[in-house]
Amino acid sequence: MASLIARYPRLQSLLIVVIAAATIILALPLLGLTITDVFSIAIILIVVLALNFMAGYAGIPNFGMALFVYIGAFALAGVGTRVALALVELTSPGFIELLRSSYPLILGDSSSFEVFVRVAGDPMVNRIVTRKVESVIEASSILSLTLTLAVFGFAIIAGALTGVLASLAAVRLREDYLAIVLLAFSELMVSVVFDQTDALAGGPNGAWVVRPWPRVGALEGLAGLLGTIPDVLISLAVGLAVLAACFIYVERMANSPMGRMLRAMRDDDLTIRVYGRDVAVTRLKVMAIGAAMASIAGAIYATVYIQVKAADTYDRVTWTFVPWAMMILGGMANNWGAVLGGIIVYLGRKAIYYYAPAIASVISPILGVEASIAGDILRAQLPNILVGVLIILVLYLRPQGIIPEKPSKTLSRREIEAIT
Amino acid sequence: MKALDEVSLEVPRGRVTLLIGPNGSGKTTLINVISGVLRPDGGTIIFEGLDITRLSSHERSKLGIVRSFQIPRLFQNLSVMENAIVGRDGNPGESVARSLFKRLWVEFEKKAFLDALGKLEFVGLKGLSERRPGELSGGQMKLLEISRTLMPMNPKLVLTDEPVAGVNPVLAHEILAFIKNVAVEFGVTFLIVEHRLDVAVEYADYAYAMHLGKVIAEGEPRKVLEDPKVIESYLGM
Repeated sequence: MASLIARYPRLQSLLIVVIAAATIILALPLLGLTITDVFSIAIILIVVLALNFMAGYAGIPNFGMALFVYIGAFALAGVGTRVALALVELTSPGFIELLRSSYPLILGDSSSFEVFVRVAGDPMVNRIVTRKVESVIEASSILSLTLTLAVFGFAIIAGALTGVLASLAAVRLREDYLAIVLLAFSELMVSVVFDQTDALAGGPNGAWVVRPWPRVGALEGLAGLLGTIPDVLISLAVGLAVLAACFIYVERMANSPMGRMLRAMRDDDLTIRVYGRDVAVTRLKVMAIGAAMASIAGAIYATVYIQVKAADTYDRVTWTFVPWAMMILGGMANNWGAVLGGIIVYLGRKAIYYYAPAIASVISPILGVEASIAGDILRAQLPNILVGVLIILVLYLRPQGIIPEKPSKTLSRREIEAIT
Repeated sequence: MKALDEVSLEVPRGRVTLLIGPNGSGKTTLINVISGVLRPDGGTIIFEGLDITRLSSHERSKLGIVRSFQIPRLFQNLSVMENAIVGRDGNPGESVARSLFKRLWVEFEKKAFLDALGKLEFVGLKGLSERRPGELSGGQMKLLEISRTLMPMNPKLVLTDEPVAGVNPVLAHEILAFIKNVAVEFGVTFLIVEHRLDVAVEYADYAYAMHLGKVIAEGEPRKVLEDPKVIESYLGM
């Protein structure tokens, strides 16, 4: 195939057109995309932009994205619920005592400290207490705003620190070692530490979160006009705003001397060292920023998908390998490419899900399986299989992706003409 | 067998010092040790009175030690212009926060751009400034690396590993003359490894010859070339 393309260069553009057309046709039934689809696209695009910043520009092969996204979700599931309970207990003392007397069988013997541990650590307590706390928090603008700030503040700081911590040991090593360390660290933290420790955020059962959106000022006015604003709309608005902010940040950075230096570091870290750049410190800074971005995405995601299960919801396929496929398809070290690749892969996966029963009804007689079973298997496995195939195909046929990397545009044509 | 064995040499400030020797004599290893790419097992490296033996390569670079590589190490996905301009250190736009505000770095960037353009023009690569290094010939890659080596803000010691290998004779003379001129005008010190002795000897102030990891001769370049030990080492006797 590669030699065919070498012989007929136009074949490559033709291939792109065919893929694009197929994607659009496949995505047609999805024109009725739901709000949660748009929300999910916004969240995954933040993760892809963060990954592109770390891997595409700075050359840090981050195979541990899932961990950084989960840290943001943990900010709600493991920290937010407890902060919310503390806020309620502080403003209306006796709340915990009231809980104890209301649920003597479950909470009767627990000390206040144990209630704090169990509110996110014990599925039953979590289930009961979360909604009660949420109703108190929702009624107060100050409480809900405080919770929002606490949760997102934690997500940003903990995300950045985890990014630094995860790469600290390997930041001076070659990129391949860094990739292995990041993958191993992420797996260890998500699948072992968080998923197997109930006290952190419910272990394998996960934890329900207290939705943190403030009901303040303008929102209350709007709610008055519209009757009520569903939480998902607030989450969508916040998701889109954060996506826009992240895009502006990475795009500005990419077209500054910083972007150029990162690309140089990615191409040859020894040479950039010889030219006075501290590679280890730069990598740590990039990890901190990229991980914080992914973590914010995880926090916003958990405001809609409010049951947070570590290894189950924040798995490596969805949050590490799918973003990699999106970035590789769109074009590494190109933010527009990352966005385009993200949308195409999301819609493609959605289309497979949509068409799975139809495909199943065709192939099930051939395979001798029942159509409904074949449909279920296809829905579960085909999107992931195709992500794997897509990564291989793009790397083989068009390694630069749909929109290739471009020089960092530090000076505009006009600025260059003016000085030369 | 030691790559470098009891090597002791002094490179005088503001002069062009030539380092010669047959293949495998330890010249590149010495450059690697001075620039911090390799750590020596023993001995000390003193730069302007400061012991730099334990400093990392980027710390040495900040003191003004720059180098080029025997096989050009260019940034393959950066344009020719970007490859040159990235040699300029201290750009305020290379900070994670300041990079967002163009007015904080645009003046520095314009100056660096003009400087890089001048260097590229000198080596005849101005017309190719938007190409990628992969599109250049071997000699042009060498020239691009030389231009980049001359880009740092305040170079004090420039270590160049075969700067004119693969470059046509006329340009080879021009490059070495330029190096000599930079040394004389700006007091920059050069340590040059070069096999093209016929060309290099004209521009060097002092020379060291190495063989099997040891310095076997030093002094006025032409005298070093005529030293029987040096001739023997080249003839493999």
